[in-house]
Amino acid sequence: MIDGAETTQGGDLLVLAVLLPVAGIIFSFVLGGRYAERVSICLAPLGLVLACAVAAAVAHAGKPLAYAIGGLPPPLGIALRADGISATMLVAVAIIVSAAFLYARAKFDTPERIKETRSALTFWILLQAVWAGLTIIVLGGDLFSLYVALEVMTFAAVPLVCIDGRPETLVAALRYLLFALVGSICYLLGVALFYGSYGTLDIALLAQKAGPNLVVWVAASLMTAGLLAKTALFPLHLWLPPAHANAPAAASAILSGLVVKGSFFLTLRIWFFILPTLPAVGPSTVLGVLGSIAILVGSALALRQPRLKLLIAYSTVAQIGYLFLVFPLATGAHVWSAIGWSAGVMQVLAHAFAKAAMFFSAGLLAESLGHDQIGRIGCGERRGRGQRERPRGESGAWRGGGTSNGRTHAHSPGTDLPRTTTVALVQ
Amino acid sequence: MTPAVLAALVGAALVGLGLYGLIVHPHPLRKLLAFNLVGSGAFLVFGMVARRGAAAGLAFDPVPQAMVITGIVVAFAASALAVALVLRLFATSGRVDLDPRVWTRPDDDSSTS
Amino acid sequence: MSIQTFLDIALALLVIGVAVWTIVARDLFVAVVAYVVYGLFLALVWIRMYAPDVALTEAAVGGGVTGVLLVAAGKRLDMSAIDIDRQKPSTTLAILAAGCSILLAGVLMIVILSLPAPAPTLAPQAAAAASGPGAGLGNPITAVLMSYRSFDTMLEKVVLILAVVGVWSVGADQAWGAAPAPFGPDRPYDALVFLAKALAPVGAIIGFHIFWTGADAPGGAFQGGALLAAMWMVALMGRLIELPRIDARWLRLALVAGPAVFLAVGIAGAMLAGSFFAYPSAFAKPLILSIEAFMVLSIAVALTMLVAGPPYRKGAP
Repeated sequence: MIDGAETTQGGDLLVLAVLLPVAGIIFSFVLGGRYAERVSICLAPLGLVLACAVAAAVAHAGKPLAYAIGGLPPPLGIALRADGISATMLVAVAIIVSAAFLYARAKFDTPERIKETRSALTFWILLQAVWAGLTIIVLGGDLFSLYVALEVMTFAAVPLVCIDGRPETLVAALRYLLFALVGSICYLLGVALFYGSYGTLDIALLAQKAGPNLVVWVAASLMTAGLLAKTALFPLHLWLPPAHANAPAAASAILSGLVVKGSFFLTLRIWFFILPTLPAVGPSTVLGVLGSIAILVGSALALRQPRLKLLIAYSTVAQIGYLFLVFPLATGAHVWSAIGWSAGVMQVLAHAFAKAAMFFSAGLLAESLGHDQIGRIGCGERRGRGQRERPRGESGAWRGGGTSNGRTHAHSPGTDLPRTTTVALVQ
Repeated sequence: MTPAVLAALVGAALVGLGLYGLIVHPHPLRKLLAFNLVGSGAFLVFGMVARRGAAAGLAFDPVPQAMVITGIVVAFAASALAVALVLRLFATSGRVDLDPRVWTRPDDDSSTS
Repeated sequence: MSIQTFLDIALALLVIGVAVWTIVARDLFVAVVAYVVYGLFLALVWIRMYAPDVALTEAAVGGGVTGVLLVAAGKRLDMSAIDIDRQKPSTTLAILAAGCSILLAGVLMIVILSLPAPAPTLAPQAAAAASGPGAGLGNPITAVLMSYRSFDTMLEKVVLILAVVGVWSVGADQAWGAAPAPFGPDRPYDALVFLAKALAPVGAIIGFHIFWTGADAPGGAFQGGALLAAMWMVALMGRLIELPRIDARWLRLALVAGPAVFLAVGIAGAMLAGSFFAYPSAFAKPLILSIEAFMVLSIAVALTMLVAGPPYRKGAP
C-alpha cells in the first residue's frame, strides 16, 4: 500500500517526468512548424531514460517514491507517487510514445518549402499531450489533479480523431467528446462527495479514512461510471469503433493502446488503492460481467467488419473487456488474487504494445494497398512502395482466462489473408 | 436548511435535468447546453461542501472553491472545442446529425450497434 | 420564514425554471439565450454561498464568454436545427432518460443530505499556512490556486493551450496560418462601434483591477483575464482591431506566457526554495503576482482565440 507522502529519495524524478512533456508542448507550440517534430523526437529518449530511472529507483527502494509538490504535504498540498504499477506503466508509455513518434515521421512531417502545416503541428503537440496526461495519471496522488489529467487526455485525443477533417471523423470526434465530458463530470461529482466526506483528496489519506458508507459507495460508483464511459466498456463503448477506425494509424495506435488505459488505470486506483477495505464483491462482479459481455460482443462484431481498422477497433472493445476481468480476479484475499493482479497488469501492457503494433501494421498495409478492405487484401495488388510489413513488437494471443504471449508473425501484403486468419491474429 | 444545502439540492436537480437533455436531444449543440447544466450542477455541490467547511475565521473552505474555478474554465474550453467541431461539421457537410447510421459509407457495412 | 429564506427559495426556483426552459425550448437559439440567462442567475446563487470569487468567474466565464460562444454558434446553426429537431425522440427513450435522471438526481439529493456533520474542512490548514507557503496573500483562494495547489493551475493552463490547438486544428488545410473569421460584419452598427470605443478601455481597467486586487480580496487572474478577453472581443466586434494571424509569433508567445513562466518559476523553486513549485519566502508575494500577470495575458488571449474559432480564408473549404 502507499504510505502518506513525505518526499522520498528520488522523488524529484517524478516531477521531472511530468514536466518534460509539458515543456515539450510549450516549446512545440511557440517554435511551431517543423520544430514541433524535432522537439518531440528529442524529448522521447529523455522521457524513456527518466521512466527507466524512476523504475530503477522504485525497484531499488523497495517501496513507492513520493514527492510533495511545493514542499507542502497533503492534505493541503498535492503529492506525486510512483509505485510498482506506476513505474511499469511509465516505461511502457514512454516506449510506445517513442515508437509512435518514429512511425509518424513519414506521414506528419512538414514538407520542405512550407513553414508549418495544420496536421503536423496538431499531431506533434497532441501526441506529447497524451504522453503528459498519461504520466500525470500514473504518477498523480490527488483525485483532482487526476481529473485535470483526464481532461488533458480528452483534449489531446479528440482532435486526433478528426485530424483528417472528413465529416465522419468529425462526427466520431464529437461523440467521443460528449461521452468523455459526461464521464469527467460524473468523476468530478464523485470527487466532490469524497471531499465532502473526508476533507481530502489525497489517495493515501483517503485509503486510511474511507469506510463503507452510503456516500462512499455512491461516490465510487459515480467515478467508476464516468471512467467506464471513457474506457469504452460495454455498454458505453459506442463511441470507440468509429473514432479509432477513422483516425490516422499513428493516432489510432495511441488512442487504442494508451488513451483508454489512462481511465482504466484510474479505475484500478480507486478500487484497489483507495477502497480495498470495501467489501467489493458486488462491484467487481458487475465489472466482470460487463467485461465478459464486452469480450463476446466485441469479438462477434469484429468478425463482421469488412474493414481492417474497424476490425481492430472492435477488437479493442473486446480486449477492454479482458482488462476488466482483473476486478473479479484480484479482489479479495483469495489464493488466486495476487496472480490475478499480475495477470491484469500484464494484460494492460500486452494489449498496449499489441494494439499499437497492430495499428501501425494496418496503417502500413493501408498505405501500400490504398485501402483496408479485408476482402480485397491478397488480390496481389501493390501500389507505390510495396512495403513488406516489419513485424513490430509482439502480438499477444490469449486463451481462456490466463494470458500467454505467443509470437505471431505479421503477414506481408500480397499473400493470401483470409478473414479468419486475420481474426485469429487479432484475437 | 441553509442556503448552501439548498443550492446543492438545486445542483442535484440540475444534474438530473442536464442528463435528461443530454440523452433526449439529437442536436449536438443542445447536448452541449445540457452538459453545461450538468457541470454547473456538479459545481454547486462543490460549493455546498466549501460553504459547510467554514472555519478558522474563513467564511468558506477555499480548496473546493478553487477547484470550481478551475472546473469552470475547463468546462468553457470543452464547450469551445465542441462548438468548433459542430460548426466545422455543419460547414463541410450541411448536417449535424450524430447518428452514425447517417454517416456510414456503403462499404463499411458495420453494424454499429 | 425569514425574508432571506424566502428569497433563497425564490432564487432556487428561478434557476431551476430557467434550466428547464433551456431543456424544453423548441428553438435552438431560444435554448441558448435561456442558458445565458441561467448563467447569470447562477452567479447570484454563488454569492449566496459566500463564494464571490466563484460568482465572478461564473458570471465572466460561465455566463459571459460561454454566452458569446454559444450565441454565435446558435445563430449559425439555427437553420440546421430545423431538420434534426423534426426527429422527435421516441417515447421510450424519453421515459428511460427521465427515469435515469430522476434516479440520479434523487440519489444525489439523499447523499447530499447524508454528508457528515461537522463537515471536514481544510480551512484551518489554509488559514495556518497563509503566512508561510501562502505568501501572506489575503485571498485564500488565490493562495490555493497559486501556491498550495499550483500544480493543478499549471495543468489547467496546459489544458487551455490544448483546447486552442484543438480548435485551430478543425480549420481547413489551406486556411492554416490565416486569422480566424471576423466576429461580425465589416461595417458594424454605429451603436456597436460607439459601445466598443467607450466600454473597452473602461472594462480593461476594471479587468486589471480585478486581477490585481485578487491577491487580497475576491478576484484573481482568471476573473481578470476573462474580463480582458471580453473587452477584446467587444473591440473586435466593433471592428476597431482585427484578429491576429494564428502563426503570429507574438500570439504564440502570449498564449504560452502563463504556463511557461509558471513552469520556469516552478523549476527554479527546486534550486531556490528546496522544492519544485515552492516559492522563496523572501519574495513569494511579488513572484506570485508576476506569475499571475503572465497568466492573465495567456488567459485573455486563450479565451478570445477559443471563441474566435479556427483560421479562415475565403474560398478554402
